[in-house]
Amino acid sequence: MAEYKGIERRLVFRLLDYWEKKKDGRKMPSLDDIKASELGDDWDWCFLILLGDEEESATFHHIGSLIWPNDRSPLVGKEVSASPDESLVKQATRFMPRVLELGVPVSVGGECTDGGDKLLYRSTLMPLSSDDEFVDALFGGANCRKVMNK
Amino acid sequence: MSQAVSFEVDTYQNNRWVLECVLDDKDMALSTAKRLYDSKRFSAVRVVQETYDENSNSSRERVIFETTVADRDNRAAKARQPATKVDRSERQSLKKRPRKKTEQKPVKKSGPSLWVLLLLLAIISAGGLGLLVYVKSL
Repeated sequence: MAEYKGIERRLVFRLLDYWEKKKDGRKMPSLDDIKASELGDDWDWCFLILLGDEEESATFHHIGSLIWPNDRSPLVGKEVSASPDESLVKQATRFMPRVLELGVPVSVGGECTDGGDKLLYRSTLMPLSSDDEFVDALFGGANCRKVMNK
Repeated sequence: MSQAVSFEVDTYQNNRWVLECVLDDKDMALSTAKRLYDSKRFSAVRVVQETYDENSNSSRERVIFETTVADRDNRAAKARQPATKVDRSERQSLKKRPRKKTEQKPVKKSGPSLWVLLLLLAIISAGGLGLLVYVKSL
C-alpha cells in the first residue's frame, strides 16, 4: 500500500476546496466538473462512484492507483459493496449513506487494515449532481500512513 | 456506553444556518470553519459538536465555535488602533481623600459683655459703699 507523502490532512482540504470551487453557485458540482487534469497528483488518491438510479447499486467509476494498487484485481465497474472489508477504499466509502442523507461532504478518519498493513487514514466523500437536485455520483479521496509497530 | 462525536460546519446565509460539511475531527472542523469564514462569503460561521449516544439513540448538540462579521470588524478595528502605551512616569501612589476641615463656627456671645458686667459690679459696689457710709453716719 502506498503512503501519502505530504501532510496527511491537506489532501482532504484540497479536495474540499476543489469541490467548493466547482460548485459555482450550485448546491454541488456534477461528475463532468471533476477533471483528472486539474487534480494533478491528487487524482491517484481519489475515486468516483456512480450511484445510478433508485434500486441500482453504486459502482466505481474511477479509483486511484494509490488507494487501490494496479496489481490488484480492478474495482472499476464493480459494486462499491464488493470492495474487501480490509481495505482503505472500504473505509473511505462506508459513510456513503451519511453523505446521501445530508447532501454535504463528510470527512472521516481512523485506523484500518489494507494489504496486511495497519493504516491511519483520513478520507472525504462529496456529493455530485448533474441537475443540482438528485445526487447521482460521489467524489471521494483518502490518504494514509502506516502505523509502525513499536 | 458508546458515543459517536461529529462536528458540523455551518454557514449563515439568507437568515438561516446552512450545513456545509461534517467531519469527525474537531481541529479539521475548526480549520474548515475558519477557511470558509476567511472567504468572506458568509456573514457568520459556526461549528456544532454533535454527540450521538447509541444506547439511548439520542444526540446532543453544542456550538463550540461561532464567529460573525461583527467579530471580524471588531478585530480589524482593534488592529488598526495604535497600541497606546501606558505612561507610568507620572504615576503617583494612591492617596486617601483628605478629611474635610470642619469650619469653626464663630462663637456667638449671648448675654451682656464683660465690660458691662464690670460696670454693673462697680455701680453695685459703689452703691453698697454709699449705703454703708450712710448707715454709719446715722
